Amino acid sequence: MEQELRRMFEVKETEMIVPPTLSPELRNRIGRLRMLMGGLIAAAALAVVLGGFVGVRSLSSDDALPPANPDSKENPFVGTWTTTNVDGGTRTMVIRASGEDAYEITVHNHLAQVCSGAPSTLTGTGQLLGSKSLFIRSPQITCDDGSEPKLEDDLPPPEELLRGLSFEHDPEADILTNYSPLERRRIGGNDQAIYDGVTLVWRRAVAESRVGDVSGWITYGDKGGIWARDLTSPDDPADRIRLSSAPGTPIGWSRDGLKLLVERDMGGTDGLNEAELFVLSSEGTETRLTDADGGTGGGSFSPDATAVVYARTRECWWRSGGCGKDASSAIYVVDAEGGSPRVLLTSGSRRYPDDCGTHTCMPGRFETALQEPKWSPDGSQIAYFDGMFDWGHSLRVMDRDGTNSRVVVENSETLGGGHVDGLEWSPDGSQLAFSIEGRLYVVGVDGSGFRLVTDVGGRPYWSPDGSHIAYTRDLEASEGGGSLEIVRLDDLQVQNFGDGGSGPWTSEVEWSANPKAVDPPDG
Amino acid sequence: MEELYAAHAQRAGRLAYFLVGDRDLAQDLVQEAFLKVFARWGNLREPHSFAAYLNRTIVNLAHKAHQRRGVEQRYLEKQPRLEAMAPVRDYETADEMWRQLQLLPQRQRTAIVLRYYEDLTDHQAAEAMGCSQTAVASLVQRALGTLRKNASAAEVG
Repeated sequence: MEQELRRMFEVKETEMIVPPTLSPELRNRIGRLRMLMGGLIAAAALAVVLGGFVGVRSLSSDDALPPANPDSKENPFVGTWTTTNVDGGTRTMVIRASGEDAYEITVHNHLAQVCSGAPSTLTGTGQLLGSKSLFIRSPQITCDDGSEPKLEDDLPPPEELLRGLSFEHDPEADILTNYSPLERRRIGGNDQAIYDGVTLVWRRAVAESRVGDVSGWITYGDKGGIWARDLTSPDDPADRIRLSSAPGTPIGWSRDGLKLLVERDMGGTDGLNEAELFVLSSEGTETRLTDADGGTGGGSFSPDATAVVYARTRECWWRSGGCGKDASSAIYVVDAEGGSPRVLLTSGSRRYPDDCGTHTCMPGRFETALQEPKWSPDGSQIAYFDGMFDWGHSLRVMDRDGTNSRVVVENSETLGGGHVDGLEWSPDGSQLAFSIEGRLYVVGVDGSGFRLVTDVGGRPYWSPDGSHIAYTRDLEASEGGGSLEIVRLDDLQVQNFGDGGSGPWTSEVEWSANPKAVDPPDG
Repeated sequence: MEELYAAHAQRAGRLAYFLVGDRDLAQDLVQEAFLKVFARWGNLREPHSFAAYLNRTIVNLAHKAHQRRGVEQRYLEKQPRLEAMAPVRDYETADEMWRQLQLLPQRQRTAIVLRYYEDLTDHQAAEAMGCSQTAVASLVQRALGTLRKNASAAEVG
């Protein structure tokens, strides 16, 4: 019977011919569907998908995003504004032009009472009414901690109260005002809620007024080599220190500030990034640490800088069938002065969950890839990503000996898809920051407080006191892509420092003034 | 993306055809399956189980199409009443076996196609169908039983 079945299939095969190449029509549909899904994923991540208060802006599948209005100087509404809320905290509003007479509004640290005290974010799209009013359509509120906005029973939902939200511009004073009905509430006699509302006055946040005292040095790489830039004098080229004349990407300082861990792209087959790790010392010497099939995928110093942990995924991981019996991705530890690496953790196989939410589940088990291992400040743990490079991310923490791994966050709905770019412990070891496709997230090591900090930021680096995060502004952002930006975490105010990009942030750089010229390594 | 399509399109098309028995429907299913796969997972490099993922998508789509269109019902309405025909001793032509295959319940047919056309193991077929290995083995057993019975009915009594 089995033979006959097979023979039958052989015969019947010839009756079915599929077009041998993708039709242009199908290709178009794929492109539009990808863009629609990309927009949904980004918007959903921004809004932190909730039950009834999903702040998803849907992109029409037939439209490309209109270009941002470059002439923002003439537009009085565009820019960053600040006001003080009733509790005395600072609220920040960013208004961006997203096309002709179209605006995107994001208010950070919005009403706290709807989120049981946690900060909330308001988003909306705006249109001009006349020249003095900006009218917000569909304002939506999300809670920064991922919880669902709550309301008292006798109040309508925030969107209804906020319907018709509008901002007036006073051209003489260059301020915005808006009436906020939820701003002040009191319970009158007989438990009746009365809300007076209040008029908020927003002042423009000007670039010159530095948000905070950021100091220290940001280390970055460009074609001319590797540099450290003094944040107290960021625009003076004379205040940059050259750490190496060979290009590379610095990814971490040793705690004593005397060694710098650097990735150098040694080129590779098939366009895959083949980064290898080097340790640069303040005396100007350089040690190559790795020579890995497939290159390295992130790493860091141990707190005492005697060791380096790094990840490596072999080329064969990408092929169907994988690498066969041998592990295709692993985390290694190697002496900071070079030597033989030892394996700390090999990638496991994961079965994709049965309930994949809105996605289609992939069948079978997958050998995952390990990326971005980072030693905790106290040296007891290592954080890392386990996933499939651009989906299925699982942020994990394990003990320094490779055991006791546990998940910090792996919710694919909140994390979304896209490439992981960086992972860093906060200096006090309580939080982790990381970026996925330009979405910069912060989460507590215990998994709490998951929030989006910016959606145009790659590779986060904490300030030495943990109050700010530096990142390179996404190249896909409408303006200023590739520049260094620093965000203050308590109110999400951003400063842009212009060209140069971001990198490890340290308080002091003591480097010999004339590093030995380093010949680019062979390879 | 082109390479993946070129590598998998024909086999995917045949799988779809064998599952739904209708060429036009199968063409639609294949296009939709590739659309779903490429739109969601845009890697240019082949993930490990692209074929398995494609299989699973096609199996799901075929199942939905079956539910929507009552394929078996329509097929039965079009064909002469087979049960009234004299049972054949053996399947003399591929066409006859094809007809019997299309008369099987959807999941039995799916199990047979995955095992004997795609040559998947019980485990791989189970992944594609979203059920357990024992369920696959049992579906295959029952399907083979039915096919054998129809082939050799002349011997009975």
